[in-house]
Amino acid sequence: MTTDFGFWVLQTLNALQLSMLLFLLSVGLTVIFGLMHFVNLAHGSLYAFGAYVAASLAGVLGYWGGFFLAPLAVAALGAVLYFTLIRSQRRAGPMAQVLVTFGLIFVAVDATRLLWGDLPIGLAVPQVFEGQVALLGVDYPIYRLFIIALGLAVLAALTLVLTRTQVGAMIRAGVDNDQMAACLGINVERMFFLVFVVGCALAGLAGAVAAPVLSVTPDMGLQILIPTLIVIVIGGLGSLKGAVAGSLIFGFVQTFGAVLLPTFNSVLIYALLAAVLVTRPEGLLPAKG
Amino acid sequence: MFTHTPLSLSTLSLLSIGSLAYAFVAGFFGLEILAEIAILAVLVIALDLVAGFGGMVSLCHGALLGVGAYAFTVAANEAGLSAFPAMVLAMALSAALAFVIGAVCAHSIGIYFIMATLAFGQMAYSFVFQSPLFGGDDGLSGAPRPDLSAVGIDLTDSRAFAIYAIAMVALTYLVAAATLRSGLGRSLVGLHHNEKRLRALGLTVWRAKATAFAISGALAGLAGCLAAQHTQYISPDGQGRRPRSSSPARPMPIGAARQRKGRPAMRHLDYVPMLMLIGRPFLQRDKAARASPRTRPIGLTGKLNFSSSVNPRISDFPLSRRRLQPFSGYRVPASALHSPAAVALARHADRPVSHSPHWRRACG
Repeated sequence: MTTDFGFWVLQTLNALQLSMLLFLLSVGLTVIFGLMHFVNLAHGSLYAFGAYVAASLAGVLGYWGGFFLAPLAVAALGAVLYFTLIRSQRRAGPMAQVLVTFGLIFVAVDATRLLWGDLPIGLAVPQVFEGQVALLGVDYPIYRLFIIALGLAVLAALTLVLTRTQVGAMIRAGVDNDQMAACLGINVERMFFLVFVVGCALAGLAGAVAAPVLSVTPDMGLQILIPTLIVIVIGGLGSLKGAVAGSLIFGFVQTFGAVLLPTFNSVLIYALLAAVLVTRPEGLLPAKG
Repeated sequence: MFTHTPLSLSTLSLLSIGSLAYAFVAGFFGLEILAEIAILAVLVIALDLVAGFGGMVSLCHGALLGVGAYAFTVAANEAGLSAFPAMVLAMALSAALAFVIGAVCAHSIGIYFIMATLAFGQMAYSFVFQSPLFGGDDGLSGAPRPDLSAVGIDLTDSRAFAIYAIAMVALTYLVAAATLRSGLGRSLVGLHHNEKRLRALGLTVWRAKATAFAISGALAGLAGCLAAQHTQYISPDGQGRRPRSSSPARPMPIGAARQRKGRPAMRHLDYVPMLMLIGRPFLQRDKAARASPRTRPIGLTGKLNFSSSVNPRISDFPLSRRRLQPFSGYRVPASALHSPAAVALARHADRPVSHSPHWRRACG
């Protein structure tokens, strides 16, 4: 089995797809933490909300309606959350933030159960991406290739914004030292709001994209939360490169671990996380230091 | 510093009397809920010891409860130990695991510490889930309840078990109070205030943190044993009990001053105030802690200012407690670590600091 080239191609593509999905989620979370020093455990719930909104809108407007409107809906929810809860908790220390956002998770889970019921909802893959394509000797679903392509496109767009625009420079300055950036005249509060909303929109996009592949259940947010946290902690907090590195590491370790070392698989990723935390607590590629 | 105010003592006595009285009048369902509340109270006290007083927010205590539950069940079923030796073994095991976790994570702070404990908790859960010895998803059944027939008590009766669980809560409270009043407890609170100062004063920080974590882990293991004895069936996803830390904060209502998040409490809101009040006496803080946002008490008791305003004095410590700290050349009594001078220094040091690495490096 392991000498079959097709096997490696297939698993690599699976790993890439998982990595890109996690990248969409983790990039928002890591920049939010790097910039605002705010632990947002409710990010997974935003992802779940995006998936539910996409699934509901797809019935009315088709897949692409859900695809474009779900991020906007989640961004709006994120804006509401920011003004009500997040802004006041920003300086309160990790314990209060963990508790508040964890409470939000429970609220979100039960809210989705109230609104959409307990049963998993399915979402059909759009017709454009139905079917499989022969790639390097294996037949791979086109939709999953679309996920990989979307992740890469988002990565390219974010890299462009962060390195080549003034807004990006301001964000990087804020991540490095928000007080000094404020002294230099950058409106840090507005930047926090912008980053938070964009992070939420990306989480909604991840939800809309993942809905046809993973089933839309009330606890999908919790299921994706821990992998996302692992990704950002391994990769490094606050940096785009860290999010990419972390999601690639997680995706490949999970996928190949599940296939090659099934008994140790779940312990493996947590052992890796613990090792990174003990040796380099800021992650592999943090924004500063 | 941990002291009792008249208000906290009266609340505590009211709660104990109330729960005992309820144990005598309740029907079967009420008694089962009471036992569940007591088990969670033990876990909450264990977690508050490190998270509330020590500032080390830990997401692995669910896993420690699970380790205790599984160790108890396996020891009782496979090794044939009777209930109490099995409990001792389970508590020792979870204490050892907690010591290792505390020691390894000792130099992480803030969110990194939280993530590290989450990682270890999930590792323990995954290991338990996948090992054939522990029954995987099927869980393990047949955990025995202690045999108190020598004293004439039959713990298979719900009422007796509920009272036994409440007695365990009282025991846990006493252990936690004793820990907090000891030199270790004061060092723990001092670590929450300002770790660098204590390191400068000669404390072996990792050992203090690990030891406190171990005590907390032992109590969490006790909660696990009680949980296993209560339902006599445990499984990873917790119809029995929850070794799974995937809902890490579910057993983490921190001092119970926040709204209880556990499912039993949500179904029976009349127990919520009771549970909230159980934790209240624990949120005593002194004025030094109120000064900085980091150590300011949060939650219900924080807002209602149940804190004592006593600064510790060296005369608070009996001569038997004034131990010497072994450290290169320095001989600093443990009491000095939390003396008025040290507390004053710690209080003034709690200024908001920049997050810049240069600043951190400059501060050492």
